[in-house]
Amino acid sequence: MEIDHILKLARLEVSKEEKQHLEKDFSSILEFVKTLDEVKINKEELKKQKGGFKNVMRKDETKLKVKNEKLKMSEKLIKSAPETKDGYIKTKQIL
Amino acid sequence: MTITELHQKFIKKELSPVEMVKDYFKKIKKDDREIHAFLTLMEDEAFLEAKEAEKKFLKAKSKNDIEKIPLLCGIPCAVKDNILIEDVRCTAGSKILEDYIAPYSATVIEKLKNLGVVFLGKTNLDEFAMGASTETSAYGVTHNPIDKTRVPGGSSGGSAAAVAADFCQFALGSDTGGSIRQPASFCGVVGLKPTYGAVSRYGLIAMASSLDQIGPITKNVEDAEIVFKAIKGKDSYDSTSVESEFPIAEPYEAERGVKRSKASLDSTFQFSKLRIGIPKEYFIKGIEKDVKENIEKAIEKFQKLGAKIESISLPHTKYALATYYLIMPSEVSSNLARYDGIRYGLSKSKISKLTPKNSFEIYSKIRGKYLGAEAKRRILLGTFALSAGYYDQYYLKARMVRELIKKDFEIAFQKVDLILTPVSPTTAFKIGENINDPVKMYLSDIFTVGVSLVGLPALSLPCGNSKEGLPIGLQIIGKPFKENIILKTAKTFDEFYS
Repeated sequence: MEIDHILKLARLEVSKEEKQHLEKDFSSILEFVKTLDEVKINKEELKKQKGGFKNVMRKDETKLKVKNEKLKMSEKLIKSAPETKDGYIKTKQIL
Repeated sequence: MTITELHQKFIKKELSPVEMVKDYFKKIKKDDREIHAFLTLMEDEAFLEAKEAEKKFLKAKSKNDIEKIPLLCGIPCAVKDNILIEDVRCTAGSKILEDYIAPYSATVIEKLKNLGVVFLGKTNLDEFAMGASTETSAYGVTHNPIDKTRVPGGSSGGSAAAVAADFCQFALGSDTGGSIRQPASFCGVVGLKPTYGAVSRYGLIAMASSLDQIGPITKNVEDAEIVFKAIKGKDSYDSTSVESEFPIAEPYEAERGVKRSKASLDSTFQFSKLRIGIPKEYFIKGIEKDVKENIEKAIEKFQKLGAKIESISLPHTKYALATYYLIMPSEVSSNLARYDGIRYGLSKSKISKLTPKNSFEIYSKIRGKYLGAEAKRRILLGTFALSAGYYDQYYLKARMVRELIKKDFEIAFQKVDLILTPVSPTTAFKIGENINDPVKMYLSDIFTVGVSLVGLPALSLPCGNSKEGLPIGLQIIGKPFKENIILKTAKTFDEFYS
């Protein structure tokens, strides 16, 4: 796979020099993780073992009970963004 | 001094929380120039909190009042800079969060705050907790207080260094593949990685969500137990958190006149009934001679105390690191997608300097410029492992091997109560020694990642020094939610041999 394609998928723009470094490191790490190819998997056996997990559901509602707290929190969250307008986060056109 | 001893001194008015905080800041300002454990100091807040704590001790007149004061009241603590404290900057060691002010506090912070803990500041870490040396921090390296030419380990290097340099009584760290245990080992302090789910992750900047866990870094085992007890438990803000089923031993409450419950561990815990497993796969080539010898000596000591030592096998150990380096980056690539230059942490002027033409350019230019090399390496690897055509071969395969590693431990724990291994194959390495060779750096976590993949609790306990005087850590691994057995064992061991 082309390193340029992965960089694009990951939304990373890097210099030519940095790309060369990343490419080199990438192949040595990939070579390292390839040791997993040796492991034989018995899928039936694995299916038997799986378990012990359960979904934890909750209602989709805010936990802050007081209206002021809600406002304070949303103000703070929006303030974290670099650019805002009228209580919204501002960004360039996406589509 | 232990937290319990400090608490007694506060009660007897032999020591004042305010004076103590004053002394700590004096020391930090003088000595942290050479160590660089802290990224942000919270001096004003800390003095206010210390004054509040002091008031409680001054007001308490009756025995009943005094008993109501929590053990942690007025105790100074340092916090890894990937754990949010409301209205305090939180960088995660990254330039991409340089201007980020936390809008709320992590659950662990709320819990400690309610007990009266005094927060001194935020400590240095590898960028987004990715690294084994604190060298990938965008804000400079932390030096090991034992030998300043060496790394403190990582990623919670700032927290471990702050405890080792006595800049605080205890610190909070986070552990994804060894990030509490390995720096604790390198700095000669105690570090506990709790069972996955034992402590709420709400307010911890996410790295790899199926692995991350917050835990204490302390000067002794007793303190680790006190802090762990204070931060553990189910939290409605973290659906993966659970209430620990097993009682934690409460030897300190007895001293304070609190009656122990029947289920208390003390009545059932006997060192002579412990069965301890030594996995042969953890004593491999590449492990430093001094490390191996010290760990073997520690194992002998366990035997002398009456524990039954058994050789065990964890056959998939050699695949743990490769499995970890697929699972973790995959989760990283997803978790770090949120740093898009739109929602967090950078000023408008920094962004407009890059003159992005559209939203794609905002994402890629900002991420390209403000994320560091290690973060990029892991994002790339994770993006690749999750991408169409490679998902089955890499990510899915790693998940299946993770199950096999889990099964190894399950089988082992049918025979034994605890497993002992080294924390890391080496002692603290020199600054700069491994930073240009990622795979070599990853090997530092070879003994800690297996435990993380399975979600087990493990403690790093200092067990002697190398000939060069560098600390060596023993890893005590327990069954899920059996932190009590780990802590009790470590404490007994320490009492006999320190």
